[in-house]
Amino acid sequence: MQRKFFIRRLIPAITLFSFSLYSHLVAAQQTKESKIRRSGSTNALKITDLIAVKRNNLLTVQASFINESSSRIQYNYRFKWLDDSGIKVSDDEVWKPQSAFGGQTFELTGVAPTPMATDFVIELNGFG
Amino acid sequence: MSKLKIISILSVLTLSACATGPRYGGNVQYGDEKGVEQVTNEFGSTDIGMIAESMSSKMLQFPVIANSKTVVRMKLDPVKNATSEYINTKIITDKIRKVLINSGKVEFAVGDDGMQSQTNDLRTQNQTGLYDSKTTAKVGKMEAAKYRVEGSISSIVKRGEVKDVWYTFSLNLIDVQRGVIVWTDDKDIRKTSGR
Repeated sequence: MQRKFFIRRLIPAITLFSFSLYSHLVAAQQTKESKIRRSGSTNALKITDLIAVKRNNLLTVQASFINESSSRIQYNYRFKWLDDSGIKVSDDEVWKPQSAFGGQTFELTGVAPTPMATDFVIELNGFG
Repeated sequence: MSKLKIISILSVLTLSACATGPRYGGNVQYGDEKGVEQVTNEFGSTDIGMIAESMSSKMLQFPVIANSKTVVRMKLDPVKNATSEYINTKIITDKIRKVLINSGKVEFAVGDDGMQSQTNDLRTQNQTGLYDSKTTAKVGKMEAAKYRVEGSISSIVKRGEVKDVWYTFSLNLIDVQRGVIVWTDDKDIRKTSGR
């Protein structure tokens, strides 16, 4: 009787915990994704991790991706460095051409060119 | 309407059309100056941009610069071109210098190429008697560079069914007083194209 009562309470608790964990993960993914501006065919490049720290007074960012498709994807990327109000603090970087094999994980790293940068956006442009 | 009047009106209209601002048509197009350039596989603007951004950000993370409480003074030597192509290496050094200065952590002493203008300025201000001595730059107050930056670019070209070019750009930071290389790094670029 007591066991049944315990299971009856445990199931909703687990369900609630799973739902909250799922929501948290989705929110975290959305937050990471909000830092990416995509153009062209880059949907297969999924962001898996994002680290942004102030190192030596310069904002340093490392974004980890995985190519979820089975084919090679060619893409260009660049960082945009912004201040607190979202205004660009430096000229646009050059687009950097890269490619990722099917299933490959890779990191894009950037160091802000000026201490004024407190925020960033990663631009991804896929082609081919 | 007399012929003269018609000609006058047409002339005025033609001239005003010539004087107005933007015109459209023709074969000229402006492109994205930061876009990836793949016209040929020779050294191009994208390579220059990638090298300058990569090398300057790596140098800014070097502890001597990153942890310095004061602005580090350097001198930038021209980059040596050891490739078989003509490359205007001044563009690379100009871009590296721009990023380093804008970081607020580095400043550059006048290099060999600017020294003549610098000494001319000092001489003109101090020896011609043209300037108020209270406002002239004093001789003997120039600040020396603690570090010298030297760079070189080299390439390996292979031709088979495709043309493969591998560029490597290396940069050294030398402590002038001690004559020691204190930091070095490089950036490699591989470009392949059909022949």
